Amino acid sequence: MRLSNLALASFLLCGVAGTSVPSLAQSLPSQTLELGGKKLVITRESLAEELDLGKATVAQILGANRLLKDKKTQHYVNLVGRYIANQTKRKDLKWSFGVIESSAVNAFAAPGGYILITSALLNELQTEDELAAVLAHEVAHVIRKHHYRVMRKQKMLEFGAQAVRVEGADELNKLSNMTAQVLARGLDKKSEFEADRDGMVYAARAGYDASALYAVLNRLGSRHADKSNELLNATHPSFSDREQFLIESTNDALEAAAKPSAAGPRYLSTLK
Amino acid sequence: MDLIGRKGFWINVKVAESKGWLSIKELSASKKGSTRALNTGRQTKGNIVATSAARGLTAEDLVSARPDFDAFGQLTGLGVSVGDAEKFSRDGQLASRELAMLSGPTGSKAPMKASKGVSGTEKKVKKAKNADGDDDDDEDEDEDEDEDEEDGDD
Repeated sequence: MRLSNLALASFLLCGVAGTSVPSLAQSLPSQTLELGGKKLVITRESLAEELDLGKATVAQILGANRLLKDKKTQHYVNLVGRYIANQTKRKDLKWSFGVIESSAVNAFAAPGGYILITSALLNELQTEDELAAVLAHEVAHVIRKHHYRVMRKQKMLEFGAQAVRVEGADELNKLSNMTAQVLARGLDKKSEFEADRDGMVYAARAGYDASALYAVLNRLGSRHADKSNELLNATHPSFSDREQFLIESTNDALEAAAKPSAAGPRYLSTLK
Repeated sequence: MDLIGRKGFWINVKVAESKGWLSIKELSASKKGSTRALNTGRQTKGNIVATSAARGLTAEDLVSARPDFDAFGQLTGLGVSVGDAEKFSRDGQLASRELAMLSGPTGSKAPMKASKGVSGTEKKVKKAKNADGDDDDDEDEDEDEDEDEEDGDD
């Protein structure tokens, strides 16, 4: 029953909030539908909602793994990440990047411009080009609003008429838990491939090695699956498929940009 | 055939006593060899970032966690300005490039793109030079800018 409701709601959301009926979306800020005895509020996408969901997502992740207490590392990762974000059309967002203490190899994008990377993944990287490549993948998720669009649909289903703005401690906790379930399920493969492809371009635009993401995927893919990469493996296409897709996506300009940058060695010299 | 190194999207191979460069794209398409573990240099987990008893992060850990909204405030305090990031890029001698977003199929079975205007051999030699550090200002003008269509404005 719940699944069929979800499928129907997704269909309705596409039909009402999608680009096929822009006049309705522009003239009606929100609309309430009755769906299987449940109220479903359909709203336009908004930056305020995106930021709310981003906050809920980050709070949930930081409830599981705390921020690394190393100002130099946090500042360095923010400089690289912000510079990547400057290459996108959403440079107006207040981007924040954080390293979390975790033995899991992973990175997360939260709606609104919040990016987290685990200390275990930092330990797998060798150059600033590779750090930029990983952050660029996450930045690309934010630019395309991949998580935001999945989360807002889920929010409408779970919060019904209260979906416009979630307030109150209990409700905020519930919202955070909902975002965690979305993260745990992961996005569809298409979204991950898009983030790889877009991220490769953003990193190359910034002057970093366009092949750095390929190098990271190749290295991580050569590792045996264990607890440290369980969530990453469960929520992403295989490393070999991602490598193949990147290779097939490149053009002459990107191949010419596949050279180590002068800033590459700064990774080890800064963090060591 | 042994894979002995990588530069960009090119790999250095050794066959008997001969060495040369092959495009990863072509090697991958030919299915003649695995490109797994092409990396050179440090292959084991390092200890670049020291952590004290870092916890794991499984799906269960994520869903069962209690949200920490105070920590969210700490994260937002870490952000840097556009100007700081630009200065940082100059310090690192990073030169930004104008590159169009890529379009095309999104999937692991995306078709290979055909070379245009240059024979396979010429292209390989030209690219081999690039892999060794020569400049090349060629850009593919046929790529579509699909970012605007996909991500929408606020």
